[in-house]
Amino acid sequence: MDVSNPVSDFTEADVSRNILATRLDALKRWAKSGSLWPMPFGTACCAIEFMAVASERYDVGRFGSEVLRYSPRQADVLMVLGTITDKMGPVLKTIYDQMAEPKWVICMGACATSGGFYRSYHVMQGIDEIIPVDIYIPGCPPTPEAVLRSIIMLEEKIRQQGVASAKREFAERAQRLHTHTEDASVTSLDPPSLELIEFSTRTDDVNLPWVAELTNRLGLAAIETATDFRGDFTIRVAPGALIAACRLLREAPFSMDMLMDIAGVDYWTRDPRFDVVYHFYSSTQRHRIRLKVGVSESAPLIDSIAGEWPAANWYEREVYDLYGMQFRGHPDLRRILTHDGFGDLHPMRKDYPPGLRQPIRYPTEAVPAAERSPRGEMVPLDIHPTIMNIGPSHPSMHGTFRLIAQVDGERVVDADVELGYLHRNFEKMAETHTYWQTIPYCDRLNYVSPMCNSVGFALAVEKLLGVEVPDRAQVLRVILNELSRVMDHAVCIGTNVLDLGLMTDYFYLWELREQIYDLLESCSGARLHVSYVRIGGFSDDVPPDFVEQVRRILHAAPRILKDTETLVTRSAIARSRMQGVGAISQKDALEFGFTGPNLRASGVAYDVRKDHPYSGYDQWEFEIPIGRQGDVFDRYLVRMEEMRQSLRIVGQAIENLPEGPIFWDDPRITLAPKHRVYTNIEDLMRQFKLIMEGIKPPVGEVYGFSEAANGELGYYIVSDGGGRPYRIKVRSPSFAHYQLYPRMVRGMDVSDVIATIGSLNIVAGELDR
Amino acid sequence: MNQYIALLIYLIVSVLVVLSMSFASEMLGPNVPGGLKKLTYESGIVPEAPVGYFSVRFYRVAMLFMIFDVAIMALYPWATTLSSLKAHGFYNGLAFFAIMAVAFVYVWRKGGFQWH
Amino acid sequence: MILEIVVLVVKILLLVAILMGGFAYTMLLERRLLGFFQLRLGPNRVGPGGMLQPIADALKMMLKEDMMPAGADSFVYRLAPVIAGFAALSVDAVIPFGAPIHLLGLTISLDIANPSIGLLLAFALSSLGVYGIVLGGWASQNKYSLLGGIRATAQIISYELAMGLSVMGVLLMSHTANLEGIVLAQKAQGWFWLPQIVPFLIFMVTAIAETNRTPFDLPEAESELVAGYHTEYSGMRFALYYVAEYINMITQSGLIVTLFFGGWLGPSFLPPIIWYFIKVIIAIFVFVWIRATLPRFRYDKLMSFGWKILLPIAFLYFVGTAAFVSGVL
Repeated sequence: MDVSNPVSDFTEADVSRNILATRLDALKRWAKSGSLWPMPFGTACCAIEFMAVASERYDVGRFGSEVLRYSPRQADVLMVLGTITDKMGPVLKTIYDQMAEPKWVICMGACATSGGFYRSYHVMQGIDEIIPVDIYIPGCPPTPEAVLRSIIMLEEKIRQQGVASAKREFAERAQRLHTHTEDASVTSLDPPSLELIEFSTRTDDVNLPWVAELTNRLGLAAIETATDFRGDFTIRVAPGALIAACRLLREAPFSMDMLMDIAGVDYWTRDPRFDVVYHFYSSTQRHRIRLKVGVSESAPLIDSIAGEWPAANWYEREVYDLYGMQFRGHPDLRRILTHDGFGDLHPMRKDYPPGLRQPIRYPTEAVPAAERSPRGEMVPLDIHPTIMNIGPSHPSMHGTFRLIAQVDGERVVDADVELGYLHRNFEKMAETHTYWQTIPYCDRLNYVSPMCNSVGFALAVEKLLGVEVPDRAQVLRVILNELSRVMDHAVCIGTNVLDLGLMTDYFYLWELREQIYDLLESCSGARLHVSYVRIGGFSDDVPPDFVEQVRRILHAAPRILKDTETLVTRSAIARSRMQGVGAISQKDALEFGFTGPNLRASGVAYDVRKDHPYSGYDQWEFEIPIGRQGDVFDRYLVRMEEMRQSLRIVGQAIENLPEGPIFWDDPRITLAPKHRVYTNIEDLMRQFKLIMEGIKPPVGEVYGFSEAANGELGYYIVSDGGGRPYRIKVRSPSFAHYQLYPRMVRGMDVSDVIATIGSLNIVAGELDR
Repeated sequence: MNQYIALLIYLIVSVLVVLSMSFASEMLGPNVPGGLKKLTYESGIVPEAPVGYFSVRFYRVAMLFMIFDVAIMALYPWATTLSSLKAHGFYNGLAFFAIMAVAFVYVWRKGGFQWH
Repeated sequence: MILEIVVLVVKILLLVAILMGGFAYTMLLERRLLGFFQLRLGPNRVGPGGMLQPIADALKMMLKEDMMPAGADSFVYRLAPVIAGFAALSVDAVIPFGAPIHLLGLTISLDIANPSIGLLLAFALSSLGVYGIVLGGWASQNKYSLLGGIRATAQIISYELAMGLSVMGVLLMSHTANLEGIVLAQKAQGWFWLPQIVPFLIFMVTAIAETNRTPFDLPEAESELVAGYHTEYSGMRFALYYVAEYINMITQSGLIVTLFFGGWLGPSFLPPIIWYFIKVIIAIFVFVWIRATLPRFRYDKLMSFGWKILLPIAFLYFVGTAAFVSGVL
């Protein structure tokens, strides 16, 4: 017998001679195939579809696979659900290694299979680079039916497997492993056209008294330019005057109390090469201002405003990470989104190729190093600290957040978080695609309510273009947006109470979500990532029974909400877990740029839909619920009430749905209907130009914002007049919420840490982008 | 047959059953070492430090538990025989309860059942 | 004598078989019931109507690789699940499943042993289970496991006093700690759940805590501690913890039925043993129902709930019952 291949001459015929062995083996394979307990390694959108698979419509429990084991020791099949980034790679590898034999891997979705359409610097181009895969499920995300099919396929595979020892399986699997590849389509970006250098420096219309006041008080030397484009006020200040300007903005009459975002922009051929762009908002005056500072390439130094505005801490870290700007006086300047393998490289710079990944070292030691120093800014304890990782692959951390907690018994003494495990480079991808092609990427930001993201993006580009969509499209956007909000809040509440140990309500709320999925599917053909919105309207009109379907949802929803009320609001245990836990004061919420339900739960009635109405929100009657304590329970109540208010808006809108076009037939913005493309040359050319070159908005920059399910979703778009956005910075609500989280959890018990993260509803897709 | 011998036999049998179950996987299952398999699971992260100091903050409650538990044990024989002891037995017991109740209220007021 | 030994051996084998089968099918029942509560179906593919699902699960568990993390205390790590499983199995020895039957000239009581301190013994044995959890959590060298183990301790010191006090009323009324005696006393006086309604509810609550099930599943707390004290366990050692949990559920149901619902008593159109199992299954249904309905306690809340609410109430009710039994009232 050949020793190197012990099974080669061990034929099936030999085996069948031994009937007992085959019977026993068949029994073993039957048992293994009938009891596949999955370990969900969910990171992104696919995890949401997997939640649907586990829920009542599809019920993976029928196959005996509803026993989700979050410990790799107890699971049989590792379900990789969603994009795996290079930063996540070592985590996935570790978990695969830790699984007990026999083990299988199901790889769900295009991202995990091949990187999907994220051919970018931080996304692994298929998990088979590091672990062997048994079943691939195509789709983005795959339908639940496809996931069920994959489980059946795996069962068949196990039943048909020959008599192979675990050792042989293991050797086979190791052979199938690809070697680590680094050639993921290294394409370079075109250098910008030269007219880029002076962007939107028109000084007209800057006549607001407070802008003049700012100029007066800072001194003329401090202000380089002041511009107004589509109602966005931009002031470029001298680098030396930045801190003074930021301090001044807090005072009346500016009364800026929220730092919304900080973005870096790379103007490549200009000197100074970089801009750092600050967005401020005043929640009392309801006005915004954009501050810009130039930073040269040779000395990328800029003053940190983290001392003045604590929220700037993470935003500056992000700018440092992606652009390499050094912030003087920053308390803790280290990478935030990308992994440490990037060294001196800063991937959002225009000369960094979008697809160039950096190699990463995989852990190979079996025994942990004895003791290393605590991370980051944690205070040292005088006792031996116990540092406990909660996440990334933890049932309550949505698979992508990592809380590094220094615990003393159950109590978290100090904490730091690590993010970027789902940094799949939305912003870099947007720069390499046309405005239209960016819409599917937008859907995948907050993958719990995709519609809100793409509507927000379309609104921002429309602002840049200076167009408004037809009435019918506006009302449809409102309806679909509000239903998306309902389904986002439903998942938030469902998972939050699931984290508290109440599992049934999650399934009830999921039924509501499934009904909305049905509607979206009949509109766009997709359940989750609908890609239904277009710049200038919608891709197509809604189906004829749309109104009827929406009415059905409106009829069913109140009953489901009532069930939740019974199970959660009236449950004394649930209340005791939620009341007084994770309270956020109004001051903190504003200071850290909270928006959406989380801000409103803290008592600030800021809602973009009311304060800066868009898409005709001002014509519908609805109210903004606000909380008092800002604790987990208030956030829950606010979300519950918002769902009711959203349904109220939908109820009004569906009865007043106007007839008419769903997009403007403008050759610069929208495609012509197919039958016209096939029959006349003008429309054929229009199709060709729009597909190949894309929409070409005017030179300029806007900050378009809307009320997404989690709060204010802003897109800061810089256009160089070309068909691709020069720069898109997403102001994601979750990023702001998550920044406060490590401070909040200090002094909490582990149970409350879990309750709090669920109630903040942080979605990794928009957090890490 | 003596009840306790039967009980003992049953206990021995159940230990054997459980022991044989607990070694089943070790005997029947595969054993493929390698990689990070023996690393303790911490959400997929290589643990930075082993379990260090771990404070059990409820040790005081645990002590109280021991005391009260022993006190309650003493009540079992009393409870089974009370119907024959009649009122006399009840009043004697009541004195015992009173002492227990005083201790209980004292500990409560002192914050002995506070978690931290 | 030989006949008695044979009877004993048969009884022991039957009991182990019933408990193991009971474990497997209680688990299936729970999965199907949870499906029912959650608008799903639950396992129905493996075997007719999913009836073979537990068999497949058990076989698969046996064929799973056994794991022990680096740095674990290998002896304690192996010992812990054995303690948990043993504690669960052993309690049922003293619970009578039915009225004594007469066969071959012998009176065979439907329990393994029937000592006069049956109830105390049951409590003592079932309390051992917590050692399995604490030691398993400690020996794993895993932080989640350790937290889970410590929570188990915190939990047992929170509810056990109330549990001990809540059955005192039953002892007072039946004048014995012998479980068969308690059932027979209920034949004379009526089932105890009505006069002992408050202790019954307290016992129900603490019985759920004893089995570490929602809302008292703190040691396992899947959403907080991944898999709690058994995070590092795989294969049959992990399965033993499940065995312990489900057999404990059967046992606690048996105790509830025996102490408060007249054990095997029931109208004569069904044999006593059937009555016993019907009652036990109803109790198990309630356990599952509660699991599907309630969220989890936080354990400082659990501690104040156990000490400041359950214990005083159980105590007062006990004193009241004592006054009544002794004729003072």
